[in-house]
Amino acid sequence: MNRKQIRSLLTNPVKTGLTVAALALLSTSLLQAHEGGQHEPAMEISSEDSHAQHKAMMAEMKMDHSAHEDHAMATEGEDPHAHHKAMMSNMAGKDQVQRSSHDYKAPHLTMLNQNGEPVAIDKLLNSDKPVLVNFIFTTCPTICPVLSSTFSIVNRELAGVEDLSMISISIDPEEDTPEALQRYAKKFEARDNWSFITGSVEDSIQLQKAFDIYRGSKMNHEPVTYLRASADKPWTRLDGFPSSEQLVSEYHHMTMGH
Amino acid sequence: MSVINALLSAAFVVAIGCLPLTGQAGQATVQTETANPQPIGKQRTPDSATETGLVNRFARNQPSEGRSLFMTGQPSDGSSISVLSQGQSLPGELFACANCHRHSGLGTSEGGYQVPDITGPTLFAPIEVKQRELYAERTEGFYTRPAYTRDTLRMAITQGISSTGKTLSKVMPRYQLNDAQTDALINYLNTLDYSAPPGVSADNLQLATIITDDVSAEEKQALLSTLNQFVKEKNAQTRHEVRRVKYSPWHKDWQYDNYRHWELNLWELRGDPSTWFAQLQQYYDTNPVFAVVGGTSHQRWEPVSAFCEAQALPCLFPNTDLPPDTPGHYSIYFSAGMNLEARRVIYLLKKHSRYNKVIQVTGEDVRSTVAAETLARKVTSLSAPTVSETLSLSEYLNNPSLTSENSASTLYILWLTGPELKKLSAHSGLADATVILSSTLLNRQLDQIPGWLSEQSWLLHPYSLPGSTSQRIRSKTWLYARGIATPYERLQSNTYLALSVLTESMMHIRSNFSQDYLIERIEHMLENSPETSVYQRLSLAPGQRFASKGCYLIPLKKIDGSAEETRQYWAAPER
Ligand code: HEC
Repeated sequence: MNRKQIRSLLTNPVKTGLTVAALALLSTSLLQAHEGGQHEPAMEISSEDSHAQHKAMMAEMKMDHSAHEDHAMATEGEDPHAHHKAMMSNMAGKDQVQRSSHDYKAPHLTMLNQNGEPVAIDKLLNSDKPVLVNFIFTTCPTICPVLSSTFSIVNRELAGVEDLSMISISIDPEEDTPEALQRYAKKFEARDNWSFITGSVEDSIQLQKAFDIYRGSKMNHEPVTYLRASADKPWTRLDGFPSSEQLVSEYHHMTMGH
Repeated sequence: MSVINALLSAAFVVAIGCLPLTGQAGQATVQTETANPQPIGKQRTPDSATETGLVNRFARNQPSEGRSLFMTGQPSDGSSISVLSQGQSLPGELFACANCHRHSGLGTSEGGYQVPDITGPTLFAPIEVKQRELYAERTEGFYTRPAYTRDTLRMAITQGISSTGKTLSKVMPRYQLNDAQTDALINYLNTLDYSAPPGVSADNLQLATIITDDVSAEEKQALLSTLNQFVKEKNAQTRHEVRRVKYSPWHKDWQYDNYRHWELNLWELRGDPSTWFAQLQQYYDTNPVFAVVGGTSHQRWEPVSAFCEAQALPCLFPNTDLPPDTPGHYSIYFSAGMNLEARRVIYLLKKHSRYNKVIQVTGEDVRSTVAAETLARKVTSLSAPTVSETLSLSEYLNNPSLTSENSASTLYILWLTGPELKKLSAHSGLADATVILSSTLLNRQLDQIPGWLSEQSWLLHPYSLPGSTSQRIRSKTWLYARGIATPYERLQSNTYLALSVLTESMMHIRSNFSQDYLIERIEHMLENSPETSVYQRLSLAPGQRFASKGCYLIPLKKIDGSAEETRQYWAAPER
């Protein structure tokens, strides 16, 4: 098929009944076999957390264009790439930051910081001083560079503030060794009050679950920033990409009266 | 490779596109089934016959200002550009287009954030999907936009305004580029055109697997029987899909554009590894392939990986314990092999400073030498002074005085195979020593561990432990159900895994026959693979090339322990 044909197909209307059939097919085919002809589930839910896996799978079905455009996604007369192209939803809608309040409990775990020093993560998070937290990994292509550069600016702008601690927790701890985190910290010009945390895969997952950010696969992770003034307050959770200005003003706001 | 060569190799595919391929001179075709011959003129490879496609394929891999900006976020002279992200001015190095839109430019998704396809052919065409409500609801935010022009594209890159006139999400940074720089960048986006992929014809997908002449006949047989069976079933399934296209009223050809008959070529390498590159070049020039999958060698894999880098050819999951220590872009490995084991020992030495002397004993196997070299090199960089000494097994056997050196601060690492270990006896003086063995060199046959070793001896084991329940070995069932003997469990399970992952990722790339995109899909989805073969867990992310990163260093007496007990002995060491 050449581009001219594709383009002419693009303008054909989509036929109604077929789309419904195609959607039904999509859901079965996603849950069922991949092409190889072994009719087993495409994703086996065998790890410890079937709930998270399920969530991840649903996210994948909903969000991931790759899984999305399976062969069954067929509607007559469209460009094979049309879905793919069209999937770049207008994301401006996602630019809004969602704010919520939670009582997350940090588990008692001994993890490592970027200097390879053991860190009691519950102690670090349950500080009586303000903390700012996010979950990242150093080879993350899209989300983390944005989160980390925002943290970097906050870290610089609040340099005069003694009591703030900033914590970035790796969700890919086997790749993110202390040394890898040290290089990452340097890239974002982190000061001493910004620590980077790694540890065992199991501990990282436990911590992600405690903060409701575990999504099965790190490639499904979401941009979330957590903050609170001290251990006796609930956590504020910001879903999305807050700007550094917003975080700085959040900080000032939450520390007022302290 | 010269321009002419590059173009010729690609042109060859196009020319033979519709012919059934059953093995070229000098190469055995593993899969000999022939494709249904298609009438000429029914070529459905996306515009593959266009010369532009070939020229673009060549051009995009050449150094250029546009490529530099795209890949690194920096002009080619190494200077810095400034980027506005979230209203903040930041260095361009943090925001190379390739980070988000990926090397292929075909985009990705992460945590619900869609990063769109920005390849030239897509940008310069309109998106005009007529949306029905149901559909729109389910997939949220479908949109249409006019084709970009160079001017509107410049606006998108520098101001974040799309061809609809609307503002793009602030995740997409705004780039402070001059006109010459945006021009260079746009020219590069135009080369991201995958209409003339190597090894892809209207009906066939050419693949290769590589075996070197040190591999025994039995091992080769085990490998090929697994490969053949898988590909046979895969192709049978493809025929089924193609038939569905013919008989179902609403399925159109293009939906199955990515279904192709797989032709798996066996590339056997002979003689000195320094000649492998040329041998590979010859195979490739005769019959270019889209990807290399699986295969095995007991020698260093470096010459093969060098070829794949030079050719920008994906080389997926070869069975090697000796991959290069710094992997390139186009090869994906199960693990770093012997280097991983050596680094795991370093990890132990860093943690337990009580060892100040390391004595390594090497055998005949080249894997043993490589491990010992890596370890010796890394020992010198330890902050606590540690002495290392490497001896061959015969040297060790001839020098019984060494045993007097035994002390709590000496660590013996026996890089030996099962038969070599047998030559050591309880009298060798090692019965009281702290000894480390490599499970890879024991072929993972733990019954070969001598009974006389002391209690405080350890095993290096970069796999899941025998009693582990977290392991997902679907391949075992698969092979068993097909009556395929499994004398080489790791090799065969790995082969099954490599082919399953390839199947799944080929489905995901649909008719975007970009080799970079193939790699990107594998990076993205490996973590969800239902098969982990003999490994504890497999995962990748952009730029990661070793899928299994950790290794046990576990006391022999703990090998059968529960998951809670054994967990502490697993670690992913620093590179
Ligand atoms: C931090 C991630 C990121 C980086 C880096 C990035 N982009 Fe984007 N880009 C996006 C996202 C996300 C969108 C989708 C925005 C939307 O849908 O509103 C986008 C959209 C675009 C679009 C609009 C596509 C369309 O169909 O309307 C173009 C063009 C584009 N990017 C080009 C580039 C170029 C060129 C570079 C490098 C100079 C680049 N991008 C770097 C994330 C990124």
